[in-house]
Amino acid sequence: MKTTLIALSMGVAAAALAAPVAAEYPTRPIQMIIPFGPGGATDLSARALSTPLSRIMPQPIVLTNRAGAGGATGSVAVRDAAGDGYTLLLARVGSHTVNPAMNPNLPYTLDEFRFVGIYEINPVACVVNSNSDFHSIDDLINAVNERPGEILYSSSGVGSLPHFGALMVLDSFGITDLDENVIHIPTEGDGQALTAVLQGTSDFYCGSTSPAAPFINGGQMRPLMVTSAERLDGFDAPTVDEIGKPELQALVGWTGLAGPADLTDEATEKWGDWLAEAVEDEDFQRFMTSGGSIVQLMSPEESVEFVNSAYESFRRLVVALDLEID
Amino acid sequence: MPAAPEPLAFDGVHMLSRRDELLIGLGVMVIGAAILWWIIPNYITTPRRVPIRALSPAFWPKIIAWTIIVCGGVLSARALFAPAPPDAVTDDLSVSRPEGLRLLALGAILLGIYFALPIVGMVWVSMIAFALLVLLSGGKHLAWGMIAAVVLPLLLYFFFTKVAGVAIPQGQIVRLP
Amino acid sequence: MTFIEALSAGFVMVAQWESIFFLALGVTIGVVAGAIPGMSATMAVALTLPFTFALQPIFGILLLLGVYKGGIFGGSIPAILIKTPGTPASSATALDGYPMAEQGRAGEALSMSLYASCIADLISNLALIVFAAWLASFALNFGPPEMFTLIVFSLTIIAGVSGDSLVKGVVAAALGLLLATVGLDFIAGTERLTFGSVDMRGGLNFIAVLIGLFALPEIIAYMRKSAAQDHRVRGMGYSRLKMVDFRRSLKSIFRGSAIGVFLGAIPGIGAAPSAFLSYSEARRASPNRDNFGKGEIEGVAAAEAGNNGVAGATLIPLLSLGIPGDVITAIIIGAFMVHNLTPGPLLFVNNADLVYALFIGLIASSFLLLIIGSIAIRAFRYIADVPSNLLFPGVLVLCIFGVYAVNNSIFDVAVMLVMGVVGYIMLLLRFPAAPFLIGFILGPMLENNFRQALLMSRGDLSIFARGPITILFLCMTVISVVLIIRSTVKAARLKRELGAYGEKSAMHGPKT
Repeated sequence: MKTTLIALSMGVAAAALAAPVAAEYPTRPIQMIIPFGPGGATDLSARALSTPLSRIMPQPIVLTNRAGAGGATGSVAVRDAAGDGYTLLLARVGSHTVNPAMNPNLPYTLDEFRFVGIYEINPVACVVNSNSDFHSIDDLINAVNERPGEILYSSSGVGSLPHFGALMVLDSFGITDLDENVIHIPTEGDGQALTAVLQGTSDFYCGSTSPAAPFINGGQMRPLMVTSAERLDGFDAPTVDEIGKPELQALVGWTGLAGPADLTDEATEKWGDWLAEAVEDEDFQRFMTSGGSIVQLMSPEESVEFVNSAYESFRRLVVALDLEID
Repeated sequence: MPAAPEPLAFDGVHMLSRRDELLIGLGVMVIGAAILWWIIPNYITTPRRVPIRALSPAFWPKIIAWTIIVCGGVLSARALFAPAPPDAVTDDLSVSRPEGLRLLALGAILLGIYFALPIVGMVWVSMIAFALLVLLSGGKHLAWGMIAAVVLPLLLYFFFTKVAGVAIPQGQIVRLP
Repeated sequence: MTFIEALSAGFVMVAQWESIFFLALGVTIGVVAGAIPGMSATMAVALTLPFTFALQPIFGILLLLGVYKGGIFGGSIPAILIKTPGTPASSATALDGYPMAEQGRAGEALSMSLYASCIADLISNLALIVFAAWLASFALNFGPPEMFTLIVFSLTIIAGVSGDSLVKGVVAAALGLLLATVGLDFIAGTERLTFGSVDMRGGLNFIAVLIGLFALPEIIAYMRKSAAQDHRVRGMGYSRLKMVDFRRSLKSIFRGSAIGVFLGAIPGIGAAPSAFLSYSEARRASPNRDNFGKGEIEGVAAAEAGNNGVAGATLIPLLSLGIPGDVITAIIIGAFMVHNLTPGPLLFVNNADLVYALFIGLIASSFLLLIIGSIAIRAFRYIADVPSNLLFPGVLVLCIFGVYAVNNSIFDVAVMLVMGVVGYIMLLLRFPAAPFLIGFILGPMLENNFRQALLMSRGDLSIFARGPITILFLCMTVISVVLIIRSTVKAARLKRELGAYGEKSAMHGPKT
């Protein structure tokens, strides 16, 4: 309520000041809101992107961390901002696919945002400790079937990608009553979730490749499968196609830019051009690929379609398996 | 052993009067009870399925509320039965008239800061608040105070926006570069 | 590569003027950023990160480490001078540092904090170099049950910072614990005490609560009494640290460093519990026990040692396991990854020269901190000479900007203002603020680890005694509680006997 008011008044101010100047769209710095804390995967991705962007764009970008409630606080702040293109959101799979699909009490919906472009795709990998007895995804599934209610998996929180990812994978292998048969251990971030696997608190983790990459490279963890179409460098594990579960390709992380629903066409168009140029930057590419991500720019239309289809497939599963948070 | 200078410690143990302590104890118990029987049931959502009772979202808050109630009981009992130490200095909680007025004015300034922030902008609000507080606290060093009231918010503004990249709220009236 | 080859290769990497330059630059950025409330070390490291992409790996990482080290010390400057700790970790420093500043001994407190920081930092770095492998495997044994018992033990430090009334301290801590439950539930994801507000879903911001609780009550109290108080000139800042004071604090500094190293090596605990634990242990062991909280220099030394002792040790899980111990080290992982370096066991094999270069750089950073810190103290202590009626309005403005900057949220400013009023009421009614803060910091760790452990065991409480570590901490907790109750009862009896004899002076204990 208060934020609405604040954001509204800021928007009015912005509009009032922007109106008399007939110049082209960015006439003042643009604020990019990161709905997660500094140092997280989204934050690092945004900061890496902003470096080439600031060279291309006529106005500076101000990166703003607005963390809280699994990305909801920052997302709401952008939803309530004016659609003049001076406030944009770093949207991510957690805040804009998994959480909306799992949490009916979320204070925003996907329709309240207009996507400018998705620029990063992050396949999901299921990983276990190298000391673990599980050498393939089948070992894991067999273990869950043999010892129901004893296998633990960690995630970066309720309604996060690793929370949903593990359930989606298990479901595709025909495991029912997920609530009873596997145990979810939420933690406060991907780092903690992986630490839990490393120290044996949790048996496996199905989340983005980027936080898991150092542990795979270091030989402390073993990947069981990846959800990309092709095999990934450094991840010596079969793809979902090879396993025969192509439907799991829908399970990927992504990062993109979005504005409020009434974002102007002019801003959307310009951002498309800027993003296209920024993602070609070598340093940016190097940073993203070193973390196991795939740099892939989508047009606004493709982005919306991509997000909606991911949402639809997640939502179907949530309803079918009764996974809603309430 | 060097005796540390401690002008504050010489006037004994500062205490509140027995009546005040009793009221505090009872007040703590009332707060604890309100949390337990009013706030927790109404403002903590418990999910449909709670496999283990200790995992319910209300479990910890309930323990905390009980702790508060018990401590409130101990405080009240102590105020009723335990004698005060002999060198205790009883502090008076009453507020004199000029003090009360100043506190009221300060409260008004703090409230004003919060509501004016989004409209007027952080820099201008800070300048006004600074100047008002200098006046409120007796108005000594007035000239320096007014200079600082203008300079400090501007300095902070330029530091945070230009160096740290934080978008300081600008308000709707006058925008800074 | 043999050890000697790696070591000398590492030495060559550091012994370039650029390495020292970037390290010094980092420390300077860190100290300045840490000295500004709201500009925490975390934020400074995050802001510096993009600049390291273009640098050589060793320079970039040294720059970030410099910012980290500088930032942790920098936080103690405003904690001492204006009771506005920039980070939760430096709030323990404010407990004795600010009373010292009020007595005109700010210069002493600042110097002590710098020396304690540098010594603890050096010890922590040495521990990293010598014990990294051993401490890392120890830290891996810390699952949720171990963490829970450790935090329960840490809660006994409330007794050390409660002042006159232990019961009031417990009430304050309980309120802190309760406030920490605001937000989305960790396990169920449902709303707790949010009262329907979107802002509250994310919980209350650390820094906003901290600054509201510590800095604002001072401002309110000053404003209320300003006319009567004005004759008391704070004029200070130039007092020098006495050698005797330094020497008698050394034991606390070493103890604090050890606590910091131990807690820093365990991922996810952070510097604040370490600072408080070190402070409370120093108080327990000190003959000047009663002076703690009233301007005891040993308290400043202990708090800062506990705080900085963590800084080198958090790199233990980072370098040897690839686990980030806190948010800052998580960002530093990013810097490693950009340069295709993977923190973890293989780093010592594949990039041994870099690892040794980092070690040498870390040792150098302790000395650079000493130099840059003493310059910073000289620059900042002029704040101590600012007349109160200009200082307090300035502090308020600084707090507003700083708290806003942490999360770009006006709601956080509101939280700070409300907590200021709450803190003032607590001050009036003699409820200590420090236990409240400890409850607020430890609350989520306590609850989350408890619930994670029960999830692991499916509700079986015996998991809390599953191994030697948990049993050790449970025993330590019981012993502490018994000792606390005994000394409280003894103090009460002493008071009563004194009442019977009408003696007055003996209240001040052995030192008078």
